[in-house]
Amino acid sequence: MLTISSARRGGCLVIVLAGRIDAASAKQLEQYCLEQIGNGEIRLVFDFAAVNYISSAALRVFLLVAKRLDTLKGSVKLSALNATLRDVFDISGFSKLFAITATVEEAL
Amino acid sequence: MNRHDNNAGSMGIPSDDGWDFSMLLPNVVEALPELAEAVEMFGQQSGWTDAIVMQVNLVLEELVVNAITNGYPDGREGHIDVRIKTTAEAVHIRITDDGNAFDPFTVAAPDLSLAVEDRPIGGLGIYLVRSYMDYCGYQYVQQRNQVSLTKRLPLSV
Repeated sequence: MLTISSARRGGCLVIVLAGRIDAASAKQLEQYCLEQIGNGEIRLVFDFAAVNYISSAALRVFLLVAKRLDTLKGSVKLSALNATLRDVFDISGFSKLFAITATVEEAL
Repeated sequence: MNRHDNNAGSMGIPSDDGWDFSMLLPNVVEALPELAEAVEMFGQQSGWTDAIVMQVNLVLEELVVNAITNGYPDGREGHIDVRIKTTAEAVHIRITDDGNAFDPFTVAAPDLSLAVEDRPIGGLGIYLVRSYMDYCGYQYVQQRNQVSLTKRLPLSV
């Protein structure tokens, strides 16, 4: 179960995620993000504070979003990951590909 | 040999061949949340940390998704049998499915040095499995794929 909501803050779109990003819910996240990018939101900040699970299906979506925003000269930042989630990004080398901040405020 | 007892209701109850957790899933990704929830409950009862619960669930998801994606190209219905045994020292996992023979550990490791534009989408699942597990084995036995995994648990002081 994944809940997605978003709000504009300081020129960015903060996308608040809650729950699990797995192979069953990743498509929902992908569609949501592509829709926001399609609406012209090219500075995205993801708030992971309420996320308790990610898998490679989640990494796939963030890479897709990063590639899309790369070509649009936009940006994507990941915020408030707990240590276990951060570890998944570290192992997969994604910590080098993304700006990761401790809090959403730091990302704005 | 009664390896496939079709007993999805036996979660958390030791089965006749010594597993503490057993769940039979249909070969659809929609079955994953139910598996995750059952594993989380089992892990908490077994005294796993939140990190171990997430890592075990991640590993199960990667391998189940892999089995679903590669094992049933004709779209036929199939079943994936997930079993776990846990001790103070380690978590043992066995995943068996009736899909086409496929050894997930022959998948090439991703190149982690590539930049965003060059990184291929996907290919990280099995890499994460290898990273989180201390032993990963594959066998094709009696027309079934069988993946065996062990994760050593940090010794509690």
